[in-house]
Amino acid sequence: MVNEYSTLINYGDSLHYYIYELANFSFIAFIVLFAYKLKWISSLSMWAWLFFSLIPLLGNYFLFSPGLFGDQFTYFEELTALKTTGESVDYIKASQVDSQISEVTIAAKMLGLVPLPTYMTVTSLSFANKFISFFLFLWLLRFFDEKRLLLIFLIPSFLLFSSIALRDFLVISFSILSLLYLVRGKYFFGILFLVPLIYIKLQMFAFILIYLLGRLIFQAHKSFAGMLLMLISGIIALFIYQDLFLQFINYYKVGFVAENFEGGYRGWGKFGDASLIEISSIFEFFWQGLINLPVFMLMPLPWQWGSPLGMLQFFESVGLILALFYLVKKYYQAHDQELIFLLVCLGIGLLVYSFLAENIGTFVRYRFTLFLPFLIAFYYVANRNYNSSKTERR
Amino acid sequence: MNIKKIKAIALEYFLVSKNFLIEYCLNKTVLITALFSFFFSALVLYNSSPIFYITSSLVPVNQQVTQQSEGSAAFAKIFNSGVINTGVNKSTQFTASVRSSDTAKMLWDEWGLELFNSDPDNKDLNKMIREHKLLDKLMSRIGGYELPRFYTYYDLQTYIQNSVKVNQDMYGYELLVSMFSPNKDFAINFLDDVIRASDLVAKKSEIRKARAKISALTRDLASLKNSSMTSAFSERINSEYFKIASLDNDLPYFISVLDPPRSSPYPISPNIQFIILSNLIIFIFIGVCIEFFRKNKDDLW
Repeated sequence: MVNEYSTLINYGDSLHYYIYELANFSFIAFIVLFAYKLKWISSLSMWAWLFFSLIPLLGNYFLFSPGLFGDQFTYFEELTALKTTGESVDYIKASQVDSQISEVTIAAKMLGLVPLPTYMTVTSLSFANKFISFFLFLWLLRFFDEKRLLLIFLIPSFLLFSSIALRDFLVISFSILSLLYLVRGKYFFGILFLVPLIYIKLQMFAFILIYLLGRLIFQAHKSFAGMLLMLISGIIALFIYQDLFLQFINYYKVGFVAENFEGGYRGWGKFGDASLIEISSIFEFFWQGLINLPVFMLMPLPWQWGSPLGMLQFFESVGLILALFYLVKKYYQAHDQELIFLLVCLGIGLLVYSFLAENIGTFVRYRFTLFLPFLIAFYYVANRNYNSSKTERR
Repeated sequence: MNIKKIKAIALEYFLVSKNFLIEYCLNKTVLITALFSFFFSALVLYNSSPIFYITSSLVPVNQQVTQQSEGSAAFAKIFNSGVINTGVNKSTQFTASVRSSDTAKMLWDEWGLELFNSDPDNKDLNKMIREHKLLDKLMSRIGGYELPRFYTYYDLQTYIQNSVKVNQDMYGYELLVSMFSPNKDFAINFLDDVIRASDLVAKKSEIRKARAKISALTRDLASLKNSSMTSAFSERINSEYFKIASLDNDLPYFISVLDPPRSSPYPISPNIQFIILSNLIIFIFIGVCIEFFRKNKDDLW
């Protein structure tokens, strides 16, 4: 059941909206009950997931307006257009240069694969994310203790992104799957889940690719010297291709500044001056990245809070940093090269983001989609190498 | 994992699934809830009004009306370039006009009673009683301000602003004027009037501007000594007179109506099948839940 008039009517906060979305909730809740009967999850998880499945209904139109994450409508309209006509909506078609497929189209196609009973409102896509979230949970149960995993799924941003109609949850899911396969040395599946990230979040693809190349070519997960060699080679390559790198990074930097500029891209086109923002050397990139890093890690800072969500995100980022700090402290003495390498890859990603960070809302999301998969991979490796009774350790 | 093991697991899952289906889905409770869903759907549909989508396609006419003789055309062109407002095209002027209070004022006599009058005995446009919510009344008492007693054309303006949408296509070729309504005939006539009145209001505004320009140019023309300037001013005055002549008639000026308002053949909401199916899913799930919690109540806590 697909809304063929999605650009005209989205059912807002009507009775019909709740009917269509309760049908989606019923479908997911039914699967949760079924999973319990198959003994895939415990009764605690069953209750938790019945509650999690309800959260999309408590988000849009209830706790906040869907306009707060306005891109949700783009994904919804694209998905319904693809399902009913097989073509993208006009405004996405017009934005596609040289028949290049938009990331919105790819994400909408992926979310559209979820066999939900109805795709009638914007919240249907939130349920698609929730459906994926449940199966991700089931898959992760193989590696983690159920209660601890439930705690991870209770992280506010994780709960939020799996309950709204954006592609961030897909990015997180693919990143987690790819990283967990890679740290287990299963390269085929690691690469299989890495490839979609090219289309839906290029940066994330690049950061995980660094990890993959480091493992494959430099054996950086086993040897500190290999990791150093990889880093030195990377820096040398950056200097050799400095112009290309600067052109690339300046393009994104200016893009993010323009997005955040008064009047958006149009305002930037009239009054913006790219020369004030663009950097001219690699040193500047490292310097600015390092200087911005502490603020980037904690943003939104209290004076940047525009809503209770900002406050929540601040405390969440503090909590996640503390969690990482705890894990690092706990396994510090082991000097495990695999953990060190994961931290270095995370650090590279954070450095790039802290250099680019302009729009607080966007980069809080970016930081989380980068931080969580690496944190989970770190926790998995630490747990496997030092706590697990299984002899999976290398 | 070998094939035998996979086969055994698949068989086990199949049996559990089959038992789950028989035990929780194919039973009396689910049948009753499924049947009840049809009553509920009927109730929902009975209380839902069909919403039709009414649209009209317009083509904005973006040429400026000018009339010049060849002799002083070049000079007049330079002169005019400083005068013509290049920032606003006709589609923007039309869209602004749709939302303006002048358009609402023009339509007030015809549509005011039909839209806002709740008292069948009242025939006076200016005496249509406006109901207020209890909270609004209370707030006005506390705040010490008065609430409007009657509806005015500003309410019609708000109604138009909220219900009539004007969208330009991606390439700026067409304007799509649309609205949703449960009453097809009303919406077609209303939209037609809104389009006509908006164009008329925009035209009147242009005529006012042209007359003001003529008045100012004629005044200044008397004191001009330079012959080329005199000629340019005259050209401009002629052009404004020509503009008035082209505006002061019943033909549409800012837009050309490509498709007059028409309704979608079927209502776009409610979708009867989808509501029935959605309710069926919900109520079947309720039935499954009842059975599930009844049979597993000791294990679930």
